[in-house]
Amino acid sequence: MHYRNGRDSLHVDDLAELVKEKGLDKRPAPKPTGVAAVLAQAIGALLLVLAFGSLSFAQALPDQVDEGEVRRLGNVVQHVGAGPRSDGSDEFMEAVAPPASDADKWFVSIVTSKSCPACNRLKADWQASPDLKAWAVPGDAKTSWAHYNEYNGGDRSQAFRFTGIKIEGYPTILVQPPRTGKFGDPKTVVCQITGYGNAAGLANRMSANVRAYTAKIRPIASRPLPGARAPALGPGGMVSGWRQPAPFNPNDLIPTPLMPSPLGPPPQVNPQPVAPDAPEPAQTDAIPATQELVVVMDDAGLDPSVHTRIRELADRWKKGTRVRYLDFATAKLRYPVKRDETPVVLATSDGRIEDKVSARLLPLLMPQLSISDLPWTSLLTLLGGGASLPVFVGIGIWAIGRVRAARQAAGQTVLPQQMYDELTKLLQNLSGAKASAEALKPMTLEVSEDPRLDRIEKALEGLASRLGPSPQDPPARS
Amino acid sequence: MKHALLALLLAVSCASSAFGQALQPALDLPDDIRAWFRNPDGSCVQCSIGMCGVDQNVPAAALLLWDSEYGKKVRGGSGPSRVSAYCDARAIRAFNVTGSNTWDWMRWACATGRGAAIGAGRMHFQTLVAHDPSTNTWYVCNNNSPTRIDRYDEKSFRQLHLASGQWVVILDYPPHPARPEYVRWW
Repeated sequence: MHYRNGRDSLHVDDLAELVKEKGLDKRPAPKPTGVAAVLAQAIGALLLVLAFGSLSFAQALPDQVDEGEVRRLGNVVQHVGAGPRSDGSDEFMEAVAPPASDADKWFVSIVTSKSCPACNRLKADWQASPDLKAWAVPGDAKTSWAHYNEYNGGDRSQAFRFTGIKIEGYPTILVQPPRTGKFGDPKTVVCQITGYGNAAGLANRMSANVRAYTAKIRPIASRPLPGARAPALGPGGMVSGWRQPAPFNPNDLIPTPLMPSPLGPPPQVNPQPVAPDAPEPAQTDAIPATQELVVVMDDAGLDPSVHTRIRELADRWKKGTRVRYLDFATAKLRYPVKRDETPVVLATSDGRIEDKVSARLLPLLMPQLSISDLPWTSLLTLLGGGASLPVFVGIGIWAIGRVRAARQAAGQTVLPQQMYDELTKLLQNLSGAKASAEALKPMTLEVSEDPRLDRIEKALEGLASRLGPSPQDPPARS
Repeated sequence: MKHALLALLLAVSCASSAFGQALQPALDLPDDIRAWFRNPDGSCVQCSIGMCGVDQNVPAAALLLWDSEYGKKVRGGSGPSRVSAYCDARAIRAFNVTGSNTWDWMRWACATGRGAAIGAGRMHFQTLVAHDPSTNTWYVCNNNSPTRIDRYDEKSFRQLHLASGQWVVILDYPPHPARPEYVRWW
């Protein structure tokens, strides 16, 4: 099948584009107004009538609906795929009645992405796993406990549905209460789970959330179902199969599929975050937030010094912050991390990523000032009453080096290395304090001896040059 | 005259706000998406079914009007047998209902959160968007003016539906969930 611009076929994702391209989303051009325009239209219409006067008036309306066939068919319900249901028997009206209402069913929706192995695994598991089929049976709405819908995250025709929530990764599993309002507002996100590990784990998490929700939300007396009017009697006095819903009995709780006994009392479960590694619907004041630093490691592992810095960062960030180490394979199922980012530290609050930083940058972000970093020679000379220009220049060079290191760590623009070297040389020459300045080598020079950090410094320089080179900047280096 | 116009405007705005707050529409699509299904060439049946297709996330139905991976575009007028044929060809599950029982089917569709393609007006098909049983008010989207929702009382709606012959098409798929929102329940 060929679409005129050369594409083999049209996918639903392209619908918006196609409609826009064909101008189907545009309103028709406004009709001309004014006496002259109306007169012109009237004359045109008259000419048309005269020209096609011989045509039958029956053709004046486009034959959009075959009304004759509708009348010929009479009372027929054809379930396409199941054959027509009409045999003229007494059971006929029963057969042609609408199915039982499924407005009491919960909603399970999954939002997936095309290029997501976990999404494909989830969809495959949902077809086979008894744990998940207890919740919803894809393709079999009648036996399914909940309405099951699969949405493609890239499908622009469905994007409007999810503007009220934050989709943080794929797959995302959403559980919502039934349309009837018996279990509260049907818009409510009872459970939002991002990522997929295994069927049993997912089923347990959904179950825990629905239990917590139903324990919290007392089912309200069912408001009259929209359309709850008793169906009209058919010929022969047969009542169609769809009946007015029975009055709601507060004790008649709809059990979740994994509840041990549908007849038992509703479980009294205090709502708690189900798992600290998955996003929950929203922040809460009632439940203290779980702060974690999640360290996603690469194959090379981390230097012991980085571990220390991570612990310090945890102490500084928020009270009670825990540190968790994950390998990349595990982390990628739960967080949107890429391999080339590792090792990386994710600062999370209740599973939501609030910040992230490369673990390799931590030593730069949190440089420690040790006793040995201080310009002892100059300080002792100064304290000994030897205040002179070389001493002050030595201390000044040390201070400039510290400021430069801090700005580099904060990602701010710094003086290019070549200019910085020239400046220090100039100061040394001016003061004649070359020897003491050599002894007081600035911290950045020590830092840049580390090959890994040298790479970072180059990247920062590249960033600085992209931000806009000053006229004094030296020519770009290869 | 001015007062009458003002009253009319007020009534219209009250009606639209009541629709927005009290009633959950069975077919929940924004204006811009409904506008994709403006009737291009007398394909009102396919336009109406297409809207339901997007609403219930059934691409094979949503793309009826265009060439797609599900089949050639379907344009022009239709009757129940043509609908049955192209639904079969595209493996679209649907209830294709004619006769006196269409009222129950339309109520069932709205009550369960499904839109319906319905006969509405002389030789015309439109999309049933909602039904308010408390006032017996029906809400319909005409594919000749898809960005607008028309409101009918019971009597007008009966006239509208009977004018085309009693025929409705309802997709046999789960309804869409309400647009999710974070509501503090814990």
